[in-house]
Amino acid sequence: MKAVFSDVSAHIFYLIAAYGVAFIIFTVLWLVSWYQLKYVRQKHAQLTLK
Amino acid sequence: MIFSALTPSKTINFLRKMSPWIGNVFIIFLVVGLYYALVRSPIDYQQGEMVRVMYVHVPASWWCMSVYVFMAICAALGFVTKHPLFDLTVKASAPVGASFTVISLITGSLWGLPMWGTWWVWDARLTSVLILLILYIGYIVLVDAYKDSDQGLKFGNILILLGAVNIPIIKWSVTWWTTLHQPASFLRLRGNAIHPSMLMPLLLMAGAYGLFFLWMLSRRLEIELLRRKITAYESRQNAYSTVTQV
Repeated sequence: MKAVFSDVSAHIFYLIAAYGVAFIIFTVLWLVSWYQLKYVRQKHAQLTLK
Repeated sequence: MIFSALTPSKTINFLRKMSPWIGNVFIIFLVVGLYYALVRSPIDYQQGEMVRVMYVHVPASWWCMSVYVFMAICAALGFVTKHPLFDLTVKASAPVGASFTVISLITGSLWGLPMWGTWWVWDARLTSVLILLILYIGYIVLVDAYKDSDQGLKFGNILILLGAVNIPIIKWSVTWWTTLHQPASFLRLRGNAIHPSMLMPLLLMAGAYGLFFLWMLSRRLEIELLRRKITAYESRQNAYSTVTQV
């Protein structure tokens, strides 16, 4: 019973880790694009207003 | 030529209109996909709960190859049409494709350790996907290494086209060689071998990955186009100030 339980909790750990890695990478990609887009839009607006 | 209508301003306006819609549809696909993957999908009789890693690993693997094929097509169109939009599309796609490859490799290792007893083996499938990641990173580094951005994009396109030979190797590596990785169970000549209860969440998650790619592509392409416009403005201003000083 103890072995089965530790097996299941190990599997849950790998499962959470796999989804967690994907979530972190998706979030980083979105954040980087959000920051870069904000920066270039601002700079472009400044240059075109001059 | 039809592509001459694709001016930077028109493309930016189109991307700004489309991007939020694609983002919203992605969120819907992601939420429904995760519900099916984590709640509705049955557990596997051999793998138990670990089968749920499939819904995050397999779409990442499909899309890391698909994004590369898309980049290779755009690189070829860039050479044929000489339209810079295709070169910039290749550049905008690369970080997303590289990220999908990283997700595929890491989630594959996390699936492999409890199922195979090892997180990595130098077999044909795993090694060819690692080569794909090296190609993505190589492209990103190569494009940024040149002072003349057009030259960097041109050499980057050549690398992408040469590296396209790796895609059929990845796809058929499990057929051509004896590998620890399982053979194809969806895109194969004998039809798919996945039960509908597991196919549904897999396709929903694949849809979410595809929409995320389109969403990020629309945002990254706008960034690249605006950067190009900013560089053009700055060089024009520098030239004007030099003329007025003279």
